[in-house]
Amino acid sequence: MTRPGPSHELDGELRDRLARLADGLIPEAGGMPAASSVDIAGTQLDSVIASRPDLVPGILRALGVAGDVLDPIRWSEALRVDDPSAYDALVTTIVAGYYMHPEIRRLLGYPGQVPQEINVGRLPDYAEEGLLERVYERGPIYRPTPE
Amino acid sequence: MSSARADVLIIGAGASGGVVGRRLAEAGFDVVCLEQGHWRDPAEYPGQRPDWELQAQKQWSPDPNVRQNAEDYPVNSEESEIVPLMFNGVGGSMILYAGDWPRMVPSDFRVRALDGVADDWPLTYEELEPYYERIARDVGVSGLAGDPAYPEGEELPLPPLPLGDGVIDVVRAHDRLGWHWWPAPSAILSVPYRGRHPCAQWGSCMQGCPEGAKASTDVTHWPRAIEHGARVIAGARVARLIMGPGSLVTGAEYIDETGATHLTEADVVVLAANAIGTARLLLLSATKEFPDGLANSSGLVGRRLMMHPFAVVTGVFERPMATWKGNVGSRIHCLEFYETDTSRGFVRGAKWSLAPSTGGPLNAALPARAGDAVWGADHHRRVRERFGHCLSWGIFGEDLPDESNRVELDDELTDADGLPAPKLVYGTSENSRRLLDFHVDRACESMVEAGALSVDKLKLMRDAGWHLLGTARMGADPASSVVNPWGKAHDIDNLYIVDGSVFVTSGGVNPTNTISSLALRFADGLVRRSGSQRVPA
Repeated sequence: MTRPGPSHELDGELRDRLARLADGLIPEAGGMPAASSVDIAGTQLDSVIASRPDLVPGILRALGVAGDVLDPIRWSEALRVDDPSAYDALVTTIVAGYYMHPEIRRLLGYPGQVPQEINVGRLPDYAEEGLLERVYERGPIYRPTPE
Repeated sequence: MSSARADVLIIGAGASGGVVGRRLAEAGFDVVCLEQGHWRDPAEYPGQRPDWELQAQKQWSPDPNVRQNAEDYPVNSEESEIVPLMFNGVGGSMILYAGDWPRMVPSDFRVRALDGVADDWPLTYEELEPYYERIARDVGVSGLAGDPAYPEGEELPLPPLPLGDGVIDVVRAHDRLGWHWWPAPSAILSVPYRGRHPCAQWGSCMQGCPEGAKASTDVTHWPRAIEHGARVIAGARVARLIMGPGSLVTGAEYIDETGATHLTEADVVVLAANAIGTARLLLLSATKEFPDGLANSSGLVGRRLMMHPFAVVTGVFERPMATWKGNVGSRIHCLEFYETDTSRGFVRGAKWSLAPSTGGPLNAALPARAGDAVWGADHHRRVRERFGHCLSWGIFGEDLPDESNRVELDDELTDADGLPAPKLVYGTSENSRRLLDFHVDRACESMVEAGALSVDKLKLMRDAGWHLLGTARMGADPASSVVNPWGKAHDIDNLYIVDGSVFVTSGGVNPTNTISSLALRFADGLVRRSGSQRVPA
């Protein structure tokens, strides 16, 4: 397993850059909040890095060249061409931080991966509708072993 | 160097190693298994944690080059159109598979006789059928008998898993089209079975089953083998097989996690390290007497690598389907176009597996699934359209053997112990490309008929080398095969190969059922003929 990464290198300025870029890529729209409103560059970034410390070098490279980006989408397209692994690290961090947040999951109607008993006792729709029977009645579709 | 002894030494604790280990231990043999990976505790599996999708991309990736665990070995796949996938640990790649459990069909064993291509297997579907049935009981297979794509056979031990939301629309579409479909057989428990829990719909089968409902030999075979005295030595990377007098193998040398070297001697050695690991080990074990590697008088060790070219056709549907829950493998399968029809411009065919698509929201929102134009104000609409709204046909095309597709030893790349890594040279054939084109077009028709709002297609997915086959093929003739029909190396009387390396052709279905059933057949043969087995003095 990879060792925890140097999250201390992601100082306030770099975190501010991350928040601005994240809001450009995932802005408020359609009833969903902007990325920075779920603390994308604070607690969410820390959670992502704790899980995937291997992302840190790519994030640092991406944020290191970000500067004052006016158009985050166009800038990210250029980064994707110039440094694909930094781009992957950056967008993975933003998307994971956003969609791991409980409020975003609630808004999406996604409960997370939760156990749920399966019910095999109920007659499936395909049986009730006779759909399986019709496949069977069409007969074999395999070629038998030749003599 | 420390040393130990056993009747039978098995190298690799995955699907085939587990089956052989259990059968031989139950028959009273002293079994030792060397496994370079470890036992995994289901509590480690990430499916129960919010960051499960993040870890699925790295720590639980099926690609050893991405995962880079200490027990993994790197694979040079720069010259391969498909990247090989695997997991090193007790249970092997079954830890990360989907649990799909189809059989091959009768024609898969007779492609030369029926279609004039490649080679026939030295056994028939009918000869393997009793082993398919025994393995189904051992692993606990859920499904329904009566599939007209196969000869009539006995009922599967457990009722089928539910199809899940939305799949019925595809079923109805196939009913209208008059196309085959059938509830997919799965090595995931639909009801409690032999003390194991049934599926709890975690939806994270491919990062390890937290419930133990999905069959893998760490759950289904090794505990029973250990009850009968088998020993699994984990963290043991085999460096080479040791040859002795009389062209017999005497054991294997392995390196533990501290770097110390050990020797395990045995009367019989069984290779079960998958079609890349097994070929690599035979090549690594070259001696002055066997300069091209062990068991390689045919020159076919490492040759005829097959990996099933794979395509995906995804339908985006209006109705929400909660596709993040339930088993992630095949809910139904379709073999409508499996058998050869030469008017299509190619031979053989493919199985289609219908599965829920995208997993969790991370997968749905990243450009790999959502496209590079996913950013900006449109982001949320694109994610909502896809997340929980997609079903995919996964299409496994038969991969005909080609001696130029191969595993060899890399000149420079090594694993953490300095052993040469495998290098893959692999390309798809014109037949495979035509096959995938045809099947992708038909699968698109299926999705449209089912009411998909849009259909995405991915032809020849690169990161899809789950099915590693063919690098030590079996056959009756030592000049054209590596092992005989019972898995015994033609050149070495006490060396057996029991994994997917022995496949003569690939078929067009997920191979773990056939790998396991063949391994059980080989183990039965070993037990039956143990009295006449040549062993080192």
